[in-house]
Amino acid sequence: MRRLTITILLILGWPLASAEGREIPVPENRAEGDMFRLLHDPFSRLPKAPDKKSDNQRSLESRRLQQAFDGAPPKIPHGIRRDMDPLKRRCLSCHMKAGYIQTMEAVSPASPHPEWAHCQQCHVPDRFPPPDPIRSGAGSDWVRRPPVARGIVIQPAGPPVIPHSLQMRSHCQSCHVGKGAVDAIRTSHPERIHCRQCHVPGAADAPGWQRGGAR
Amino acid sequence: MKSLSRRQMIRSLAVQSAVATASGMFPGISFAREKENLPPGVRWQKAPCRFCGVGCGLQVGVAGGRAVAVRGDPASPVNKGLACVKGYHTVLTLYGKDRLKKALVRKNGRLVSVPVSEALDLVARKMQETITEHGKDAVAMYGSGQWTIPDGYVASKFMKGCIGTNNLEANARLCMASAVVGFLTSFGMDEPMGCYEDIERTDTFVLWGNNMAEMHPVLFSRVLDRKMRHKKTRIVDLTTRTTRTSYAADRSILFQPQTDLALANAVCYLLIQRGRINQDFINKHVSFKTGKTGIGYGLEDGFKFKEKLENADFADLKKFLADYTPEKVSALSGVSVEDIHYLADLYGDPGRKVVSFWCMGVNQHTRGTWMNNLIYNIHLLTGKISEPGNGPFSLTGQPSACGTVREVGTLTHKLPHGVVMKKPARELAAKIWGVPVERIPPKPSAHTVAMFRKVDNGPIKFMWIQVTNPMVTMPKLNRYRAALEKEGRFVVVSDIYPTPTTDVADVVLPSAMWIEREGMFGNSERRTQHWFKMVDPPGEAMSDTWQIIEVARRMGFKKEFPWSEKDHIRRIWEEYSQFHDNPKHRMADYETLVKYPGVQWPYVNGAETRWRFNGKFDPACRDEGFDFYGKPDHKAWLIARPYEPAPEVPDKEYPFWLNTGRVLEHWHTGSMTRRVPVLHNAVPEAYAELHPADAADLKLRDGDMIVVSSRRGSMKLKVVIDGRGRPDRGQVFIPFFDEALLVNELTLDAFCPLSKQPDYKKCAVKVEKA
Repeated sequence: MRRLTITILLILGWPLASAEGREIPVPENRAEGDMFRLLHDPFSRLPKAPDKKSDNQRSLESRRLQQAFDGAPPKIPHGIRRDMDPLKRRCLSCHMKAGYIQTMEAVSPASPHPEWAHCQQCHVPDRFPPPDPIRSGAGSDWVRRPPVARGIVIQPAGPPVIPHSLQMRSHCQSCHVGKGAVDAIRTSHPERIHCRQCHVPGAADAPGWQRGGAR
Repeated sequence: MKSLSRRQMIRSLAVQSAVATASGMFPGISFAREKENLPPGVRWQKAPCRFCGVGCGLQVGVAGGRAVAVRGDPASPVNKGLACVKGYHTVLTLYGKDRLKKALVRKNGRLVSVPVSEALDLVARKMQETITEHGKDAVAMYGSGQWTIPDGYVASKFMKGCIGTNNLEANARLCMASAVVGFLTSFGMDEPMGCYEDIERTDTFVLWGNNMAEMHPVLFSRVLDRKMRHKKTRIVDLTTRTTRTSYAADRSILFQPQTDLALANAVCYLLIQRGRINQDFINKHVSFKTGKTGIGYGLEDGFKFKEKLENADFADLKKFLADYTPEKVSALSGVSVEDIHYLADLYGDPGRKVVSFWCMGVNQHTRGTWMNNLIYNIHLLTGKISEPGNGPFSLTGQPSACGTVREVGTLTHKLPHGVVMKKPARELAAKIWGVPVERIPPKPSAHTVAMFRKVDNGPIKFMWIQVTNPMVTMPKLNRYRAALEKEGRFVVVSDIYPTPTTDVADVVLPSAMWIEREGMFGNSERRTQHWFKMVDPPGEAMSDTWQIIEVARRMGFKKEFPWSEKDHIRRIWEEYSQFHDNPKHRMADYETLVKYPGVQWPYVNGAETRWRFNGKFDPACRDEGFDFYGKPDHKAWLIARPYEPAPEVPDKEYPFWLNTGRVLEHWHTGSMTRRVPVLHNAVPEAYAELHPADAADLKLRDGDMIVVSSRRGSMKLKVVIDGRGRPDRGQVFIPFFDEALLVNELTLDAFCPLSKQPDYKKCAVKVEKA
């Protein structure tokens, strides 16, 4: 067990091992090392499976409204304390694990990447009503793609493939297990923790451009 | 793309996934037929981020002719898959509602749409007429650190090689000039000796006036990551304003504006006094110099300054530093003696590696060059330089301030290799460009502030501005706006959206941005990053490179710009690379740039150079040891630089310091990021930060409206107390991204006499309740 922990820590690290040389370094695959993280996090335990009826107010649709595109960092949908102290991991007091937060009267989703401490580097607060455009005619013509299809199986009754990219979202339990999971994507078998034993990345995670010129 | 019903879409996606997976499971079986019937999916291609100088590698997803998504490129050694909120939303900047799609020409005071070819005809004709009537030096071009490398290269060839004027500047003058002159005076060669990999190899980060958490967020995440994994790590934040960076630091040290000069000298004093210097390194690799003092601030038109360095020795330095005891410096700077010792102990600890980072706090400084020199002095005295985990590292603001402005040399005194004052540099340029050498003027004409002053005073009648928004960013803005609006001035602006600068233009050319054309950027760590065109630009928008080529050809320079639209970027790169064909600066070839997320120069014998001036890593060195080959004596120059006060300091009438800067969510003047809903929502308008005690003295509460005024201008805006940051007592901070609240109407156009970079961080203002 200890050896496994060490191995995982090594995989997680920045490429400390890349030689002090002149060659172009090849970074390790951070995503792969991430999947068992909660099991070994001393501050956290695998969240328990929820009661049958969840008190979750979020849905896939409401989740989508927080993002500009699939894979974009979601906005912060609630008020936050003045950001004098963003790096003290305050966000993680609610988002390290999922759970009901009394003051918010809502269930907090767990972060799939709590190792990144500066949350507001990517997640920024939203504002209602939105501010006026900066000059007349300014605004956005952004078109969002339709949602990715879920529940794709290769053969009848087979395990569905993973419909989204795994980058920054390789920790399956955060979104698919426990109270923080949106009903539609909560797993029926949270006790099975080696998710990618059966669920394999789908087309959304197809590598695109790759170093060395391969396409 | 054919429109598909939802059912069809799901079905085809299912097939697509199944095919992809099945192909992996049954490698022998062909699934080609099914693949042909699939709708076009998302295609991912690499591009560096459009925004800051960190130069994150991104993958941009394109589907149906539009950019649809962004992810960090895990293959990029810069960001390793991470991005910041601006980076993730870069693709949204392409799709603002009011994107410029047609050229605009001012007729009877109003900008009206015309075909781009007609506007280009007018630009070429007007430029030619101005030259005929008033001479070559009556036309000028003002570009950008957001220019791609090909943009800057054709601009230099056009202005210096074809027209024959040195009236070519770029906004990097406002952001990186002090770093450039700092490098040149201390090492004789521009750009950092180290690389980002220093972050994972060091024990100590000293941030000199650098709010890295907001301005270089991805690098800062690497710093935090290092701290979490390496317990010995210390982060020291030297600052005038408490910021996000301060909260992550082990110690945040507040100093009075301008006294960083004294603080750096106090560190040197303590290092020597306590024997924490590397004498062997100093003996072998350091020369001592002194420079001119009492050098002025460039406030008057026609200001001239010429530096003269004198030889000195170690004893001279010791004598010079006697004025900088911790006690004296503490009284001046407000930093405790204990903190000065803490800082010197970290630098001096032989068992500790140290990286210094800085950006605008040091560079936008009326003694910016001196501050750069002083940080080098600390690293030279301790010998902590040019090796993994040890080194001074000047961070860059813009995505290609290094690649385009510094390497291509789009500044009045520069050529792609060397300076215009040197005959061999002019000869090399003339040879590669195929122009007569006499055409390249041997004297620099005007740096940015002087150039705008010349527009005001009359000698410059025509200015072409590309990829920058000076009507938001010039200091003492009221003067320079009035200058561009004067009768008899002709202003051409190439941009992607309407801005306060296009508002004063006579011709507006619609530009193709970023992934709408092919290009390269060069980031802070000497990394050149190439991308291909991925989507078509809207309407008649055209790349800045091609706009310049079109105008140059119309003016008769067809031979100099012979390339086809299809392969011109590659041809430009091949021509430009000839300038740097030596082991100290060799660039990777085009094919290599295409293959990798970015390649660092010097790129010699198929290998990148991570640490320059160190024979273990740098093939240009004479042997295995250190070799500061940029200087004729192969040594680094330690130049004694004193503290001198700022030109305008708070007084009874204007009792506050004004500091300006950016916020994480917005890029520069916000012309792109303020059209992205998520970013605009997050920070919709500019505001003024005050210290809570100052606010209480003025009976101000959070959200009250105030009027902030300087001797040059006045603005009304909301006060924020303990929001994003907290300025020290007696100071106000206002971000500059908001075109409706122009803080640069208040700032002073004083600059560093060596680098000519203005100081946006210090002037005197008063604050009143509105």
